[in-house]
Amino acid sequence: MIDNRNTITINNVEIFRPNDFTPEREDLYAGEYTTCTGKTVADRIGWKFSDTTLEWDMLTDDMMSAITSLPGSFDITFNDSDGSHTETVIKTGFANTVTRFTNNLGNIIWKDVKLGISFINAH
Amino acid sequence: MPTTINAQNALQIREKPMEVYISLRVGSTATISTYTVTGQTKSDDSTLGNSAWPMRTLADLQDGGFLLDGTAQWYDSTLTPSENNGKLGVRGDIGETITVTITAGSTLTAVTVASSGVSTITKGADTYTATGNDVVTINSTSATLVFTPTDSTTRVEIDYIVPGIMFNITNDTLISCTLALRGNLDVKDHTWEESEIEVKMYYPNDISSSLAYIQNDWPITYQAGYDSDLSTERKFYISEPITQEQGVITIKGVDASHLLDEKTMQEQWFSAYTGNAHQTLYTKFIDAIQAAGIKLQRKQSWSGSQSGTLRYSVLPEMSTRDFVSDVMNLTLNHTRGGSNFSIQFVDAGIPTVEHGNGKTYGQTWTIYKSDCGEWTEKYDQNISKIIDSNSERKINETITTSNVLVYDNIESGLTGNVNQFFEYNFDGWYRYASPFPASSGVPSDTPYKFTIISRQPSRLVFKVTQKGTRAFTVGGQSSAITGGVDSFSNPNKLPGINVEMEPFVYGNLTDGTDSIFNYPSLFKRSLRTGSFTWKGDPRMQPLDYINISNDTGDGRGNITARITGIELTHEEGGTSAKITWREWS
Repeated sequence: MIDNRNTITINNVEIFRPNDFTPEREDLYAGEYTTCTGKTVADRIGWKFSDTTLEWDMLTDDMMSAITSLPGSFDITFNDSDGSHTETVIKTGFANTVTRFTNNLGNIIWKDVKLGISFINAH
Repeated sequence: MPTTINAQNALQIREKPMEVYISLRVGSTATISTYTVTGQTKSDDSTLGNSAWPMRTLADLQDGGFLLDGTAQWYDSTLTPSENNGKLGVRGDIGETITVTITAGSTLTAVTVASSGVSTITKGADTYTATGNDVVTINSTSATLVFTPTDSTTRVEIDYIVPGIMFNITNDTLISCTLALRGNLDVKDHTWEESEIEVKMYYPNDISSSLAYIQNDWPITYQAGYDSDLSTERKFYISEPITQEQGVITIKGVDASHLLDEKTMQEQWFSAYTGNAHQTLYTKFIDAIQAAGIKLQRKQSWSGSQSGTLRYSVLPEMSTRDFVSDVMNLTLNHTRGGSNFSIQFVDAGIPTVEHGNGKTYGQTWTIYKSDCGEWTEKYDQNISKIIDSNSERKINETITTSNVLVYDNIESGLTGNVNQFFEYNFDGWYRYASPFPASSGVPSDTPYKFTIISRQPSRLVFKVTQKGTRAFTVGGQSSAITGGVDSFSNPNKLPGINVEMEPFVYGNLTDGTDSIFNYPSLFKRSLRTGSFTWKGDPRMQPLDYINISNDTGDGRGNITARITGIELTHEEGGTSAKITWREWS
């Protein structure tokens, strides 16, 4: 059992927590205009997690399979200082170098994997 | 502390998005006669046809248990459903599919279903993704609807299934809502325009075939603000076919004032006493609006009693919109001795008439210029003279009528049978024109009796209801026109343009010595207009007053104005408005 602080769940599959994964929150504004004195006037309509790229130094073959077979939108569950969050995201990009190798235990390992995601829900 | 519109508008960045509630209810002549529920139900009652009563919150151990705040009740099958008690609706066992078969006496085009815990609603080969409030196309007298839960741990709950289409649009499904709320304070082009609403909402199921049955004039209601402080409900009416393209439904509507175009006011006498002519005009104004089919939501009273001298005018044939526009234009700046004789109609979804300074229902808003964007300001050309554009009549003529009724001048010696119609178009105008016995008859005479179908100044239509033995005649009180002027000059004697204007009526009516159709008052209208972008407030109405503060603290540069137009936009969760104004002193 891997400590859930060291993992996230992507589309119901437990996967290593990406390197330096610190989800940022950004406030959302609408109805925005600039006054004649240069002030910005707007409605703060909520916040969302910022778009980000998940990066892994290495993933197991099962985890890699889960990522390569992701649908257009899927759920991601992770912890931050505020507790556990499940968010719907869309995939914005995927990249990995062809660095498949087998470790000492005979397991397949993939290196240098990147997955871009965009959070689609506001709070 | 509850959030209020005023509190949020005081902030440079409003901290909460405004809630927008739009409702479209399209009824159906068909009624659902039976609901047959099959499947493993946990509880149900026979209230599926009632959309008004709330669902009772039952103690339910699914989803981690029930709230201990007293809102959840134990299931009690003996508790009678009502608005206060709530109802059970239909609740399935956890993870179980529920089937409801409905039958109606005549063809149902569509039904609206409110449910929760449902992933899909299936009708025959059609599958609808459930959103909680769903329109299902039927086009039959019966249908079987299958409700599938979202997953094996969820309970299907069905609140109601009712005939017709009911959209309750909230921020969850709203893409944008734009309102164009219109007023007009232009002297020259003063036609009062209707206000409009355009709503775009996301709706995943294709219901375009059901939308085809929605006719123009069905009501759409709109409210916005915060749940503890919502604006007055505005009512609009569908004006164009509702469309659905790629999941986006577009609904367009206009306010009730669109009816002003559909009613033509016939040529008619309009008389008033010099002691209360303004009140008489106000009453006529209200009557004309109501006769066009507009149900006034707010109506200020203005009492007055007949006194002084009776004066006459003739309103030429015109649309109710022209009548309303002209009365407002000619009275809005009319003041005398500190009294204000303006008469105004504002709709924008809340049809309202008032008089005086327009502040009984109209509000005054303070707006800081430093909060405004896209500020523009301009001046209309000065009007140096208003010139009569109609060769047939002059401004402020006098109509005199003969003191004695004149008969036989029109027609005499007529006879007719029961149900026979007579129609006369006279030269000139006649008051009280009617058929009557030609002379006092002998005791054996049987009098003719008549029903007046239409009585206009120069036209009379009537029908014989009882045949008499003596010939009858048609007559009335003849009238003549004298006086009047061809133009009014601006007392400021500054250079400017001449504006041609058609005299509103034949003749003139006065209150005291003032003409109530007050052309000289038009020169009081300010030439200064402008526009700006602002935060937007769903409570604002056309013709409301705005004090635009220049933030200097000493009042210098402040502007008192009235709103001539509001384009209020709710989009992407935010609200803003473009406001046009005319200075008003």
